[in-house]
Order: sequence, then C-alpha cells, then structure tokens
Amino acid sequence: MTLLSFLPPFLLGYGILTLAGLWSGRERPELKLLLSGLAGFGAATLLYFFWRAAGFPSGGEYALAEGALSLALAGAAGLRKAPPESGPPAVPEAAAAPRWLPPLALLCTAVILACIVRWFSLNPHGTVDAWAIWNLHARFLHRGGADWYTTYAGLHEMTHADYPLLVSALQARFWAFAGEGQSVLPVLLVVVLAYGTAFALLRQMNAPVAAWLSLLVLLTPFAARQAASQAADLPLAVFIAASAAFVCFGGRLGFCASRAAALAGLFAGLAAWTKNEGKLFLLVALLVQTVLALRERGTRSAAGSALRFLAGAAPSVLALLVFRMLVPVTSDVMPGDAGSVLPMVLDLSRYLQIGGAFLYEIATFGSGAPWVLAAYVWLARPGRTALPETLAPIAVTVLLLGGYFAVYVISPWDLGWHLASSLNRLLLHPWPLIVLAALAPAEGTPASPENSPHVL
Amino acid sequence: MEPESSSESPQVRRGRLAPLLLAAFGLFTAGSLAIETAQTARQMPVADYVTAFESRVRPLRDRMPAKGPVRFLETPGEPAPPGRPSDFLHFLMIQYSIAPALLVVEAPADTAVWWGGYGSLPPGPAVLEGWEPQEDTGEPGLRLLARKRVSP
Repeated sequence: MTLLSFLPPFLLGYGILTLAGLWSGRERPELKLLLSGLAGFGAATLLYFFWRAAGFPSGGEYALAEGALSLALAGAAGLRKAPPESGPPAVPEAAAAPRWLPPLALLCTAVILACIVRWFSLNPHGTVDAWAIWNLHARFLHRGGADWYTTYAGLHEMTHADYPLLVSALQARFWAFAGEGQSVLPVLLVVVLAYGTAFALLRQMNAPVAAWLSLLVLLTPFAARQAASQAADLPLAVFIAASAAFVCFGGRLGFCASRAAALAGLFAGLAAWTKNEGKLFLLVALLVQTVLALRERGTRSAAGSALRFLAGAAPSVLALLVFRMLVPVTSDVMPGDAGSVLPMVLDLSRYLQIGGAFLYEIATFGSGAPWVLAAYVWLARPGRTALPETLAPIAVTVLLLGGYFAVYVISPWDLGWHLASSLNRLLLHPWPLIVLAALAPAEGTPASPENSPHVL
Repeated sequence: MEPESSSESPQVRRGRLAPLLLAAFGLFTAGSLAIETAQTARQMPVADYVTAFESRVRPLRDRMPAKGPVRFLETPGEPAPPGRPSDFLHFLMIQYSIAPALLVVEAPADTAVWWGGYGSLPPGPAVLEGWEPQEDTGEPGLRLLARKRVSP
C-alpha cells in the first residue's frame, strides 16, 4: 500500500493533462511522466484538502476515492484520441552524451540519495521547521475530525497556521494510504521530482548532455540537506522551475503558446499552494509571461495567454481561498499596522543590512555551485546573447528575489534574525530554474559537434 | 571520446572543458557528502530527540481531551516575549506530540500539561494554583493537570 500510494497521482495527472488538452503530442516519455507526476501530486493535495474541508475522514475512504477518480480520469484519457502534433517543429537530434557521463551522473545522484536516506533516519520528523510547521499541520489534517480547521486556526502564531498546505497535505495524503508514521518515501519523491524536472525539461529541449550534467549540479549539499529536512523550500523550487520553464522556454519545449501558458499557470498555482513565497512567484510568472507575449505576439494574444495562465492556476487559487475562509489567520511576516511600515521603508540602514546579507548568501550559496555554473556558461557558450531566452529566466529570478528583498524591508521581526533564519533557504527557490537556464542550449543552435560545447 | 584534432577552434577546446568542470563539481559534492555521512554512520542508531520526547508525552496524550484546548504550564524560566513560553522548543514539541489537541499559552482550558525540564522536581505551589495534579505517568518533568473544581 505504501508504494501503491504513488501510482494514483501519476494517473490523475495524466488524466487531467490529457482531458484538458495540454499535451503537445511531441513530449518525450520522460517529460510526460514528469508532468503527470508534478500535476498529479499537486492535484492529489488539492483533492485531499477539498475532501477534508468537506468534512470527510482521512484514511482508507480517501484512498479509495482518489484511486477511483484517478482510474476514471486515466481511463477517460485513454479513450480520447491522441491529439495531432502541434507547436514548433522538433529540432534535429543532438549529439549523444559521452559514455562516461550517464554512469557518473547516476553514481553521484545515488550517493546523494543515500545521504538523504541516512539523514532522514537520524531525524525522521525533519528539522524544527518541518515538524513544528509542516508535519504538525499534516497531523491536524490527518488526525483532526470533520471540523479539524477550528482547532487548527488556534495554533500558536509561530507555527504559522496561515501557511499554504501542499506539503502538509502531501504528507497527510500519504498517511491516508499507508498509515501514519514517518517514511522516507515522500522525501525521496520530492528529490526525484526535482532531479526529474531539470533532466526531463533539458531532454525535451534536445540537450541530452545538459540533462545529465544537471544531475551533477542541481542538489548542492545545502539543497540535499533541505530535501532531508522535509521543509517546503525544495518542493516550491521544483514548481517554480516547472512553471518558469513554460514561461521562458515553452516554444523550445515543443508547446504552443496557449498550452505553455496553461501549464505555466498550473505549476505557478501549485507553487502558491506550497508556500507564501509561491504567491509572489505566481504574480512574477504572470507578469513575465504577459510581457513576453506582448513583445512577441501583441496585446490580444497576451490577454489570451494571461487568461489561460489564470485558468491553469485557478484550482490552487480556489483552494487558497477556501483555506483562508476556513482558517482566517493572517501572515505574521507582514506588519500589523500600516503606520509601522513607513519608518521601515525610509530606514536606509535596513536596505544596507539586507543588501549585505543578499550579497553574502549569494556569494556562498550552494558550496560555490553558482560560480561553477557561471564558469560553465562562459566556457560553453562564450557568445551567447540570444533574447529573450536569457533575459526571461533572469527577469523571473530578479523579480522574485526583489520581492523577497521588499518583504525583508517591511518585516516586523528582528531583521538580523529574520535574514539569518531564512535567506539561504529563499535563495534555493530559483536555483533549479537557474540550473535549467544555464544548461539549456542556445535557441536555434545547430546540433553539430562544432557548435555543441557538450560533445567530448 | 573523439580524438583531438589539431585544427579545432579555441571555442571547441573550451567547450570540451565545460562538462568536465561540472563533472568535477558533482564528484566533489557527492564525495564530500559521502565522507561526512559515513562518519556519522558509525554512531549507534538511537531514537531521535523528537521521537523519544513524543513517546514520553504519549501516556499524557491518551488522558487528554482529543481536541484540547490544553494549557501549557512551566516552571518560570528565562523571560520570553508576550504570548510565548520560556521553553518554546518544548512547547512546540508537546504541541506536535498531542496534535490534533490544541496547546495554548494563555487561553482558558480545563486541562494542562506541566513541563519542568528533565530531572526537575514536581510542580511547585505557584504553578499548581488552581490546578490539580493527575495520575503520575512516571515521566520526570511532565505532568498532566486538571482545573480545580470550585465547590458552590
């Protein structure tokens, strides 16, 4: 039953994406599996939340309902005719990865997975943030009665009852299938989805060497520890990367603009359903996508793209609204009264302190991984200047980090403590997107050895 | 690996180095993590602190109202911000252990859990004011209390 609990979300995701007509018909199998998994696990947490919000019990009844719905949707999807291929034509087959690379990448990945399993065995409830927030919320969801939210709303403010529920619902849903108890499987699921996101998206962009290389740089020691910690930052980073990939590289992934916009919205919505920072990302992704669409296809098309993006995000936004109605707790990151904001906004020393902390954390992030990646880009693509493929991921990253900066400026907490306890985790959020953007082949690059820096 | 051509451009030569750089980084990362983790693997497997503490709270949990609220009482310690207990970590651990019962700091409740730290003496009269100790579960520093009934 434990392993079986992972099957319904894949069927659910496949069914939803098929019935919504979001496949391009050009996906490689690994991308189909990844998108089904990301959409399916996200949808399963929404389904679980709505089930519990309606007062139904967590347990076997839910498992049966999710299983039946997944089978029904996947069955209906199977009956549907395969869509004709659409979107940009496939690029020529790129040079294959050198023989040494896949075994090396798999070996490094296996070592990191083994380390994560070991760390989990030492702290099966995760770090303080994990058990005092995410797993505590999961216990209320799973153990609470029909009106679980009435006591949940009374949780101490430092346990953040306002936080979105994707991670907690993922855990509680797992308990509904497998029984309560800390298991390493949900942790490994997040790690596999993180690796899979970078790998499958780069494979889809016809960059097999870059796909294998992504496995070597994606989970830095800090990111691997974050995965084992069971906090929500890595799941958020995965949804951010998936959504931003469709905003920035939709065409190169073989998707037409309308499908890419809907998928970007779907994953941005799930990011918002994962953490409050995901709500900021939802706005950033919508803004960047709209600007790109305006620039490339005009006002009418941009409006259409924005609508499709919002349609994709709608289920998660609805869940957030229902959650807010059931648990009317405001975020404690925002100052309680407007009068206290202005002095903070006008205080130059806060900007200097935050700026210094950003510079320090960026310089030391991921054991130097960003610098290694920058050196890779310099070596591999010295003349890379194509727009907007380079500018779009940079814009997403800068706007996201700019938003975090602004929140620190008006933070009611002790600023030094707030920065020290959160900034390194926040920098993890755009990291998979940065890896993806750095390793993605330049658009229109012919796949010849002369032009491919990856061929050894 | 293809034989190196003497006529290849500097761009291609640099391009050959790029994946090797990431491969070296990946090997370094995985290797350093493996060594660090192997060093901790020599430790005897013991129950982690949260699991161990939870097993201590379990006998109390079974005697509490399912949803609470349960008042958190402690022997006064370091001064804490308003609405936050002195030993906030153990407040959080008890809340985690008794979920979905709600643990409260100041709100009214008929049941309370007293946390006095490891090896501490039983709750003193100042803590017990208005409360009656319940059955001793044998866990030092932890005690379930019930609101004293005031006779009419």
